[in-house]
Amino acid sequence: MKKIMIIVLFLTGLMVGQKRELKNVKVLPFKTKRELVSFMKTVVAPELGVKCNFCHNLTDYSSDEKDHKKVARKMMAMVNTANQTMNELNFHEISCWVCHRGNEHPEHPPKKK
Amino acid sequence: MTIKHFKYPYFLLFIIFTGILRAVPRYALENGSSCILCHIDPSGGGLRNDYGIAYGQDDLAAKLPKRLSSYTGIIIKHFQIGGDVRFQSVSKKKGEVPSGLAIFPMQANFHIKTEVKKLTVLAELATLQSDYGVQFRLNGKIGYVKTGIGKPSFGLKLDDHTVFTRGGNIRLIHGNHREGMPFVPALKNAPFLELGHYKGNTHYSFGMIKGYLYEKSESSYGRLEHFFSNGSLNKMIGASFFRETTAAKDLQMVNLFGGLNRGNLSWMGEVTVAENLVSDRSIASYSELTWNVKKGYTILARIDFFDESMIYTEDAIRRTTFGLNYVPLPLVDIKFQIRSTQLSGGVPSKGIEFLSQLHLWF
Repeated sequence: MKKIMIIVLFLTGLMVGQKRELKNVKVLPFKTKRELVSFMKTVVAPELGVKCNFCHNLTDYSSDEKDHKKVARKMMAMVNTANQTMNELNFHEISCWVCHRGNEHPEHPPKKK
Repeated sequence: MTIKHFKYPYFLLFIIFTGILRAVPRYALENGSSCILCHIDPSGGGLRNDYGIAYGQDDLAAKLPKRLSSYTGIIIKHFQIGGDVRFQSVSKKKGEVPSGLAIFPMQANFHIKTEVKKLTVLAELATLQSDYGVQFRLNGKIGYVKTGIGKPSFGLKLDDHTVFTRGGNIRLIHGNHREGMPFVPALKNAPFLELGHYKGNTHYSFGMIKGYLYEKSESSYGRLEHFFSNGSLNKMIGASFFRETTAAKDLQMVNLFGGLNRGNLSWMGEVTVAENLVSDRSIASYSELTWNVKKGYTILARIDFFDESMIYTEDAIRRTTFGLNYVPLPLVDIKFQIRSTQLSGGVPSKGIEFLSQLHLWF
């Protein structure tokens, strides 16, 4: 009986399954979780040299409990604004790497030559 | 070599190998984070979260077909559904028991998850075992409390239960009293209560479980793991304990584990010492070196060791394994292994085993 219930549930899921809705995403332009996770995994984490738990509560990624996430959101808004200017100038868009270079905190002041 | 399906010895194998399998700790090491990075359950295994699904698609599979690239799990409104299905084949040299080739279903587990604010409810049905598990987890800012029916979190939590640090040879192929630690897959889920805490890259948990090893046993367990990175070098270190508090034998186990990863090369190992498992002290160890040759292809070399009496010259078993893990597509994992066992005291080996496994998950 349990097996039948699971199979029915599975088939129902295949037929009426829907894409997940993003929760608490305010700055990034992505429409699906798949796009968002790939961006975080391939761009944000390596460019800051951090793991997911630096910003996220791993039991609830959408939560704003960690201050680092709030800072990251403002940083991403800053990058978006910068990229509007870059687009107007027909320059390449920038990302976290421009300042962070794989570090949690950008080097400041710049190294002396 | 003859092909036999579901004959008596293979029915035994079917019973032996059927069980709830764990996560792949090597992936945790390579990502420098706990199991919860990819799995819904903080103890690992079973249903994957968004990151786990994306990791399977982007980092594990040799190819990512366009049709599968948008797969984000099966969602029915507020429910996520998933499953793990495995088929295993074991082939032994003729003359051994059992000889020939056996192909059998190994696992057919289905999972369903829902969330209500801070509460996560995760249920699992192990159809081949006629077992089920359910956990209610209250998530906090720095940790969680979970309760329900499940298994204790101990050691590396390897996905291969035949390694001696988990269940080993349940059929006692070499005639010892035990050939592995007591975490055999035949153990059913049992009522438990667990507290977990995350602090930076450290995760520790402590719990109690009732009736897991024996019907009326009560056990406490704890586990600590820490991940750290030094440039391109990822490191993992951890320890765990398990103590049965009510049985006459008073079984106690202590475990140390660790791992190193640099680029495509990883090493993981663990040692478990048990008191009152057979006699005074028994020891089991596991050491595995893996090389990710290219995306989707990983080769491995492993040495397992078990000694039920810690005399080292009697009853000791060493098993050497070489294998290939091939992930052709997301949701598909194929494993090939060849392994041989050496016994202490000049006892002849029991021959070479060839194993292959097809693992499908969604």
